[in-house]
Amino acid sequence: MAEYWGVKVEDIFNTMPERFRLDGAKGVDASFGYDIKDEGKWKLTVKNGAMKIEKAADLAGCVSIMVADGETFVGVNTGKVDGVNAFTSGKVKVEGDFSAFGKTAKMFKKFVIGKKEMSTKDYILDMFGTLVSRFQPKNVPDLNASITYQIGGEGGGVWTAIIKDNKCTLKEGHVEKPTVKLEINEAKDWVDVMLGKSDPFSLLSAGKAAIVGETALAMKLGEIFAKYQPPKIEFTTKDFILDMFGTLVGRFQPQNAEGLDASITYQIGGEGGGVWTAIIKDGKCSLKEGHVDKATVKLEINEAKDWVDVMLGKSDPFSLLSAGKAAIVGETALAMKLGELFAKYQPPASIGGEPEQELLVLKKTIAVKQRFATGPVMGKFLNAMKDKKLIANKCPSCGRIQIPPREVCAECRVSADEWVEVGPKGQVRYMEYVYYASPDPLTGETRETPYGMVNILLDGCKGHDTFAHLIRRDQMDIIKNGNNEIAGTRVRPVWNDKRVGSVFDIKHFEIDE
Amino acid sequence: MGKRVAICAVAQIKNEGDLWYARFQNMLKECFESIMGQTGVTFDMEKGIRNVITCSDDVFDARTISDNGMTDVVGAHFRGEEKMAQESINGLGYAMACILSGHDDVILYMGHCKESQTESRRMNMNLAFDPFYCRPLGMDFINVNAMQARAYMKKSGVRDEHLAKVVLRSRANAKKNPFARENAAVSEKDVLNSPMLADPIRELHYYPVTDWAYGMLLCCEERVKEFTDNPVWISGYGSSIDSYFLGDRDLLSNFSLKNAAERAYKMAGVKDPKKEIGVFELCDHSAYQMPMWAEGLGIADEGAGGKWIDGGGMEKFNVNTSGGMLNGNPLLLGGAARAIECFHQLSAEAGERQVKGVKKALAHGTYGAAGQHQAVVIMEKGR
Repeated sequence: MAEYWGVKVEDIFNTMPERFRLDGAKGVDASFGYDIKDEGKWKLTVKNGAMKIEKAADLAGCVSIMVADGETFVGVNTGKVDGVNAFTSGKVKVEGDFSAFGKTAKMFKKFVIGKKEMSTKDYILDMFGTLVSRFQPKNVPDLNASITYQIGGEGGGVWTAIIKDNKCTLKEGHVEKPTVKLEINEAKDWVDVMLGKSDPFSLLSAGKAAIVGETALAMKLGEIFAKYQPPKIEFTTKDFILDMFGTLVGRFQPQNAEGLDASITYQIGGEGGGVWTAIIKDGKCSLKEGHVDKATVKLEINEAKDWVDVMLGKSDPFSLLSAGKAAIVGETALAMKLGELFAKYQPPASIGGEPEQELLVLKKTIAVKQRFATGPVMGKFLNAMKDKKLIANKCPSCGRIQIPPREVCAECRVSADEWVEVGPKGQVRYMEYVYYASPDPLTGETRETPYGMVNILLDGCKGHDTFAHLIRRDQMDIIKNGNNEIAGTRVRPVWNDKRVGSVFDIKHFEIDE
Repeated sequence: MGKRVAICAVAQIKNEGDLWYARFQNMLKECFESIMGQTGVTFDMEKGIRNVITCSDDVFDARTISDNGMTDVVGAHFRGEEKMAQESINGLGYAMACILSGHDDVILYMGHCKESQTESRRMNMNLAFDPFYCRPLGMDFINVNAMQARAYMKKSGVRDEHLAKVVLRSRANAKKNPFARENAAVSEKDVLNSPMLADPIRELHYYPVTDWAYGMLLCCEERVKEFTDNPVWISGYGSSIDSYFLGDRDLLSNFSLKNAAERAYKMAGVKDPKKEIGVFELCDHSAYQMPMWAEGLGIADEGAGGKWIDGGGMEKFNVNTSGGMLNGNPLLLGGAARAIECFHQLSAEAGERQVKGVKKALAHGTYGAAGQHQAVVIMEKGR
């Protein structure tokens, strides 16, 4: 498949789903055909605010069909070719319902040429493709000359610029007796020169290029042609304006427009400008091109680019007003509320959009391995679990039982050095359902939810000397909490076959029947 | 001079390289019981301990709000418990403030750190730095201190041989301290051939991984006799924190230490530390800091650390009779260890390492990269 400006015809179609704009497809229920010469046929179907694009053998049932060649189609979609010119010159034709076809224009965001590296060939083609437009006749009035570029290597070729009567034309191939001929051995070297990464004199002195004929003219090339600028992926003012109004309805904030019945007209002058009116009624917003009768408020903006700057946060509306570059006609108070009525415009992320400030987030996992000593008390408790025993320590002063055991009775401030075996059965005092499990901080793994965490009063313990563990998941719903008066559900531990001295030597507790 | 605050009793466990058989609760409990036994203090809400200050570090304990792991073994339940998450010497300043304000009469002050628990002390130290800039550059206290060490040694004529001397002396003094970490005997050659961690800091120039805990009982002047007949007084305290980012600091200026010392001297009425103070305990995380801090405290001439060592400055001013931080105390706790040695010296209980006739002693603590934070406590013998 051929590429034009590095873009294939199918790239345009394949990106349609991600460029689809719901606002533009409102109320559309139709199929549209695309017949691209030598490339194939595609069918776009829009229904209920959704779309489907498919390559089709025939385009039966389409309300309209666009017919174009690949280069024109890609050119119009990428902004390289003026759509209106292409249409009036007949390079693009529409068969069927023409007005229906017009709707497709609003249905998609602009196709942005991916940031793929341009090849040497792409650059060479772009350089010569733009050469005529870079001709600066006033720098060389009445020049009558032909300049041949004979470029070797991959991506190379021969082009001749013919300058006569203050006009420049480009022709592929040689001419007879050119005024000057530049012989460049490798196309990539010439690209480097044109991009400013290298200079022509180095090429000449290294024998990588030669000038045949009028050397003085070759030295003036920088004046004859404006500097080559490689293509930039950029939204034009017009693109921004279209995108802003294309997204306006979607950015409407009905909660801030309760009871509002108003129309807001944006009358935007200058290149890329136009007139749009947002109509707000019954908590809904619709957009219409052009004026309405007696708009509640009208914003008159002299230059579209100024408005783009305001919307991108690079400028503010009050500066425009005070500089006389914009005016508010009608209800000024409503104009002041626009920031509430519509969410802030966000340029498409795909174009980089130059957001005001992008804050970085540093994602790190902090992990330092630890070796926790268990000591003589916790160690003794964990060790006993290997033998399916739950041991607690008892305060010699108050008789309180601690499980898991700790070095002291914190209440009496004495060593709790009397050991007693408790449980392993007991009664549930508290149970909770956990629906959102705390993940393992390093692996991110979570346990299955919901699960039940229980506090159990093991046999031999009293008061609130309870012990925490998990309950069998399928029994959660039939567990009853107890208290000092009423017994809770009786439970017993389910031990693991392999026990290592860990809290999970007990898998969980289950109802003891 | 205004009111004084007494240290009534101190307790500690032996500094160990790896207390694998104990959790820090066990370490603290031993100190707690010792303090209770020595003083007979109670937790009576009128007459006893109403507030416990603890010192520990979240990262070293691998526990958010590290104090919650041991409030029980330090008797803190059902009363005030406040944590000092900085150098332990600041806890003395804080305890002093609690008592001088009149809010508390009696403060129990406990601290612990178990450096052996983490697989990499350096990774813990790396976490002291900001995550965006310094941490990714791999900064830790050792390699940042090395930057200061290199510049300082050049400025003050301190050579590798001087550092070896500092290490050997630290080891020799520690031998006489029953609570000091027991380190392998080393020769000058061993130190000079010790592997470079970050030039000019060699492995033996840096304090070894250590586990330790301590306890102290402090009280107001009026009630001291209830707890001891032999108190030691805190008569001066000053602390100072320098900028966090190294780029904001002059690493050679000793600015922070001079600032802290000046405030402590002033509060204690010390005019000439060289003459008035009999024992200096310096928090030397690394050997180069011994002469550098000596300069900052005014017992060595500015820019003459090398000569000071050559001229026997360490002996003349009785510096680090305990063996110092260099012999091994955990991070955070160096200042408390210094104060405890001063307590023993002033109480004439320092055994073999006792300096005769000590009336005033200076305990120093430092924390952070290249001595960012500094604090000085002046202690005096009982009336």
